[in-house]
Amino acid sequence: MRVWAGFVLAMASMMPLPRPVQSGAVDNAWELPPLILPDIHGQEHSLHEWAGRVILLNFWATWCRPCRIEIPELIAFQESYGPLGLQVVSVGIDDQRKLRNYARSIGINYPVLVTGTTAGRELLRRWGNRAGVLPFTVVIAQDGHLVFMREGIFDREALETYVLPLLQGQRAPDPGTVARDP
Amino acid sequence: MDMNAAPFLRVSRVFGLAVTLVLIASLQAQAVSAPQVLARVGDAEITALDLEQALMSSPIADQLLTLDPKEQARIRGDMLVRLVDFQLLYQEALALGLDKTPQFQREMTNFRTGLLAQKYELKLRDEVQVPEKVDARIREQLKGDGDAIEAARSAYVARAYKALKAKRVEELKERYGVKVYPERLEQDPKPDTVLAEGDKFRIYYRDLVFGSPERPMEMYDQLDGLVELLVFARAGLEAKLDIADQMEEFRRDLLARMVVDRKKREWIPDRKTLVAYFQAHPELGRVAEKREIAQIVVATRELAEELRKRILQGESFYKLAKEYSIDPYGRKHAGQMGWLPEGSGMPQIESALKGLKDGQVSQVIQTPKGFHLVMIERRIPGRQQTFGEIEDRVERALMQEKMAPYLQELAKRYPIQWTMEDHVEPSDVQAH
Repeated sequence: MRVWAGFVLAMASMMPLPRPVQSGAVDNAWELPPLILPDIHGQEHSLHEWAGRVILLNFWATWCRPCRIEIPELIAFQESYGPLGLQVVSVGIDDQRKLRNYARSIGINYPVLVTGTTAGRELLRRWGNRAGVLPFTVVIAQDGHLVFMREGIFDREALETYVLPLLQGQRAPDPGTVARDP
Repeated sequence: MDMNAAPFLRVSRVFGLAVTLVLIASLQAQAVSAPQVLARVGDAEITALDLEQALMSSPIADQLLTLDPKEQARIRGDMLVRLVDFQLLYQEALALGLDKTPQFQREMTNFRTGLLAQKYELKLRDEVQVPEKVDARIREQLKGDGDAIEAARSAYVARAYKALKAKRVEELKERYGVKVYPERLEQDPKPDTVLAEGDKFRIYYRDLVFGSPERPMEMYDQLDGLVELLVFARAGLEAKLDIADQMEEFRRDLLARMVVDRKKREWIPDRKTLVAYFQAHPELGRVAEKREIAQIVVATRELAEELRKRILQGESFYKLAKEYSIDPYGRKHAGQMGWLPEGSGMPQIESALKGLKDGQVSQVIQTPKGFHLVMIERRIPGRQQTFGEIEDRVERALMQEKMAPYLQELAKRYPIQWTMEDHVEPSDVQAH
């Protein structure tokens, strides 16, 4: 299953972007059911806590190799652009203890929220990732506008294209990447 | 972020040394910048980078960082000990002059040939690109379907690579004047029958390591494969492909392995030795009885006695376990603890289980966890395995037993210096 997920993911990361917007798609994070989850230390958080910042919402798991590849980059993004208004928030679809150990070992400097496999799959679907492929990243603008979502590794190029303009007070290019359930 | 949780670890050396290591659990291969020396073996150094690289290429790599700090430290410690052992064996191999032996030279040559050919094939694959025109056509036909576009590109590359490879083999055969004599395979070949030859190489019948004259197609395929390997290796050599790092790694592994093989021949000269060892250690073949256990744990003896009475009067063990057990797992699973091998429980419980019949509830057993009632639901009897069933395990056990004092002996010749004094917790150091 994981091998397949990795394969799907490898394919997904090569998929051409942007994808077209589906008609009737919700395009604002704050119009979705609130995302409320405990973090790796058991403290409950709502995604709305970070409203007003540019949120890079990253779904991952410790067993997912591509997820582990992108995490050092996400740490660097948070460190460099956190003071400018970026907030990386991750949702680990995994065992809390594994996530906590991993976060400590690698020095993750942003919140890691926790959810189980079944709930995680539903959450992914709700956020537009029907195949349940990891990693999966959503960029939410300061006003909640969903700017970008993509399965596969979120790289620096994506950051420069979709996140940095928002931090500089510009509109992100209109990529039409938001393909999700209404 | 819990970065201060530096784990402490006690490593009991096979050499009788005791070292307490503090390893930074967050250390990662890519994060190691300065080559911190962890140990010296003779003149060789083992650095934190060596350790992390070894860990990252081990099967545990995927889970390592998800483990608790102490467990991570234990694994790092074990790996460091293995690296030290490896160094001891490597240095002994050099001292024994094993790098001058024909076996070593032969294995190095074979590995080099295979590696060069493999690298040349990779280079060849890189030469295949999807032409702009073909790519445009694929994109046009499969508009926006990323997966299908990628699959179509891969299929194109695979086909083109196959054709390019076949063409290149023929070109190289011509360049190196290779002549192949497949017909000789059907003419009662002898070990020194030449099946192919070219500039600076020959393939003999004895080089075909598997297959038999009864299955000539397999032998033809093997011959083709060998010819391909040799011409690619030659082309790789001419292209000056860089294989130095892999060769060095292989050289060290091979030498260490050769020392172990030598000792193995000395310690286990024949199968009789293994049989004798098995007879002296029958426990190696002992398969413990497995029992499906039900359990209730409560906080007081009175309650345990009361529940026991109720069970004896006909109430369900499982229902009561679900209602009263203070053990979270047992409560959740209505007391069903699953299949457990004999000897795996706490001593008090093991001893109570000993005289118990299937379906019979035990007396109240007191342990530090509380007051237990246990019951064996079903059991699979234990048995003694035969030598034939576990020959490999017997060999490993004997090797392990012999290897410990041997490494200790090597450590006297190539002294080990642990260079982690700064990290030793005095209170944790014990003399062994």
